[in-house]
Amino acid sequence: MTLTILRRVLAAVGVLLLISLFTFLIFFWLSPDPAVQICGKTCTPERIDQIRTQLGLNLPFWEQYWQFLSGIFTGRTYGEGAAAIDCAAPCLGFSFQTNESVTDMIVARMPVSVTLAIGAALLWLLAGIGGGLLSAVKQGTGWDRGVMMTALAGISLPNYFVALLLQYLLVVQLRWLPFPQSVTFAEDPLLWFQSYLMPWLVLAFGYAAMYSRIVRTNVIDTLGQNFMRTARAKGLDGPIVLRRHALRPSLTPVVTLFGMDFAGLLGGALITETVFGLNGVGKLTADSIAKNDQPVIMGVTLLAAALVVVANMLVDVAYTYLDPRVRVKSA
Amino acid sequence: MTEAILTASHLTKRFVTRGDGAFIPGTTTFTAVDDVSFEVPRGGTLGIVGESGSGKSTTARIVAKLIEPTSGTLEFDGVDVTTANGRGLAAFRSNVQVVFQDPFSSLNPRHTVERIITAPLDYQGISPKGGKRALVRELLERVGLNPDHAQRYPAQFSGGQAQRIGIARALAVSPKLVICDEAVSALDVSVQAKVITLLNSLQVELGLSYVFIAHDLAVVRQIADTVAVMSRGRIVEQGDRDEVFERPQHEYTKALLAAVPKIDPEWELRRARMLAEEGAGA
Amino acid sequence: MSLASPRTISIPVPGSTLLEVEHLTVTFPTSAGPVDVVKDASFRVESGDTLGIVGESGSGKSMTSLAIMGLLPRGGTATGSIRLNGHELLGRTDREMRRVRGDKVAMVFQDPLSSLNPYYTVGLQIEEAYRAHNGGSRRNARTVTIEALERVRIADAARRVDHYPHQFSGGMRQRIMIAMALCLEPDLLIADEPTTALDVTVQAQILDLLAELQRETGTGMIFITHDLAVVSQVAQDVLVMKDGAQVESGTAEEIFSNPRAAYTRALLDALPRIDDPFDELKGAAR
Repeated sequence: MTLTILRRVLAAVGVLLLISLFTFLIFFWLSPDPAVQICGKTCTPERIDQIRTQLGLNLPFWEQYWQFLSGIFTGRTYGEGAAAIDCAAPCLGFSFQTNESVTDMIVARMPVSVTLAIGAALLWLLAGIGGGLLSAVKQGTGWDRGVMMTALAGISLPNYFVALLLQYLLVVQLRWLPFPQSVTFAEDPLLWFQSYLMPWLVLAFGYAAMYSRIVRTNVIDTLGQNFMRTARAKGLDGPIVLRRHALRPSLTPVVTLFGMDFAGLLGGALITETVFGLNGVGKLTADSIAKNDQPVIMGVTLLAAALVVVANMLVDVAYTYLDPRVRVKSA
Repeated sequence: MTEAILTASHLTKRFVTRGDGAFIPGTTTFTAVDDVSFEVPRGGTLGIVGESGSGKSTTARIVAKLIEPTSGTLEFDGVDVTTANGRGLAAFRSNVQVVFQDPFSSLNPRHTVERIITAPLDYQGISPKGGKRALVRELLERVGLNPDHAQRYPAQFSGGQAQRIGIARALAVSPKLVICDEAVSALDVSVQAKVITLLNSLQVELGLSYVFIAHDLAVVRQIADTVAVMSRGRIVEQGDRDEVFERPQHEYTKALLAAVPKIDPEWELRRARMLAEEGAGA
Repeated sequence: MSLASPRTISIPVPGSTLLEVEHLTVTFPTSAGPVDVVKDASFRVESGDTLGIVGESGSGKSMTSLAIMGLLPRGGTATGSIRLNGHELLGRTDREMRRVRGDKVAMVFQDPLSSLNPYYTVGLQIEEAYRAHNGGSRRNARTVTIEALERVRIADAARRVDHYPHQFSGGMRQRIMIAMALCLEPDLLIADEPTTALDVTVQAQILDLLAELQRETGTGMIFITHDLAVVSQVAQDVLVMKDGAQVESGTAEEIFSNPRAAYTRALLDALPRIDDPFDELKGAAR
């Protein structure tokens, strides 16, 4: 067991290294020369070269990559002498446009993304699992069709459309909610809640739609299993049979999915944050792409990838504990 | 007993799985087939009997060259085919065919019967004289199916009929040896009997040899000339069918025979008498 | 024949047979119109006796047992009469039937691996059956469970009660199913192809076990199978079914020594044997 976990961890590390290399490579090849950008309008070739040296851009690829990688663990210094810039560990890069270390920028915005992720997750788990269960148990009836139609809408409608629609309906027309604002829970709990409610709903809608379909399929599948027939033959109560015997086999695969989805959200919900003006990691990414702030984009990409890889590994390990057939060896 | 068409010598198959031991990486080796040797009589049937885990299916796969043995040799028609590949393997395949247990999973549900039966011909690059269509019709008739059904799909047939399609497919390349891997186990009793009868008559008509794998002793008795009893990867007893069934030597064989449920012989006798009387009176 | 309330269903009507089925017909709707998968079946089972229902696939033998349990798949309807200890079962609500299921009539299925929930220990699955009908504490249920496992000869029962289904062999899993069925002390046990998926030596052990337990408890049994030889060993009375219809019925001796129906005779002829002089199949071909 421990060995399996160790193997998984090592594999995850390997994947992360590969991702970092790949990301770095893409930006190395595709980005416009950052020195030119920083230099601005009044530029001379000497000045550009000076900046390039300062940024270490004249070094061969592998050295640059190594600097980047080691910077994550030990921090790094850009340039020399008086103009040197210190980037403390973990250094994911330095934005010369905003003059901040990427790590600092991300950390400042993490709380928003995390709040968004957690709130949405709770909602979508409730709606997704509940909806899927209802559909499965009432298979073929109006309930089933209703839930599945709603799910279809959730999957097909683009995120931003739902977001705008919701804002239009709830804020502009019905005036049930104010426009979302940036307040912390401590400052004004009610406003905080009202501000997050719509983004939560928008995010949850899409995921809940997907989950309800998956849960529905799994539950229907499980209900047809032989051991369900045995449970009924023992004279067990309907709801008990459902709760105890059908849920676990149906939901275990959903756990793995959830882990990945949640981790992905922690990396920032680009569109939702932008539409609602929430200052999270997603908005940071969107803004940076617009400004072509390469270090930030690279840092965020790496972080998002890392979150998913780690989540994947954790979920893999979790699965071995959830399914007794994997956890305990056969006879 | 005439010369053997297939000789297996000291076949062994070990499966190695990388372990998941607590702190020590343990690789476990599972010996599915352990030093198994037998001969298949030319024009006759070798029945291989065993319970689950006995290694009979693995042995069948080795003989069919679907998997490679860890050690041991296989000789077909006087030629060593243990490491055959390329043309040697192709020749082997045109001489040795397999009928599997579940016709519905071994026949492609998206192919017509004709396509299923002619597939081996295409793989082998054989062009039958008179054309493929004619051969398919002939084969279908031979296995007792309506030749007009060649354009139908497997799902439109019953279990017994589908198994006949599988047999027709095996016969398409005119093999010398057919390996039947639990070929009748998934069929109803009455259908089983008919398929066994078919296999027996085909053997006589075409001079086929069979390796017949089964867990059901009674079924094996209907078709085998020689029998090998397997347990835990080894052959515990081997010999003429009647010898093994009537004078079993090994404890396991005896236990196996004793465990088979039997109808009270007194009742059987009375039924035989009654049938005889009716026949006489008719 | 009274439609007694659920509470009194536990009390047998004096002088009644354990199970009496009359003119049972099970119908399913299909796109081509309603189809009778069981046609007008009638039979009875006495306490302590075994009725063997024999048939090939599609004979309706499993549907008959599901009808008795009230567990027909969606869309199926049963008409006729099924009386357990004198009380009519057909027409009861699912709630009422839940009291019957497991407690009065228990069932053992064909494939024990898929019939047990892989996510729960075997102990838990037996305990929940016991507690659903008898209530009581978990500790009590656990004691009963361990006893039940010992009775079906699972070695080291006290420890293995916390194992998962996949940690047992096929034969042991079937014993567990039997333990689960019998721990509630039902009046009737329905075994649907209980040994079909097992090796022949294991089958022999299970059949012995069932016979022994039946002797001890006096439970009536319906043994469903396609294997005529097995039926001849376990059943006192035999019912032969084909395509939903009852082809022949009688005592085992009658059916095997003097079969009247053509189908029964054909089945007996087709049955391969390991030691008989009727070597027709092989002989004819040679």
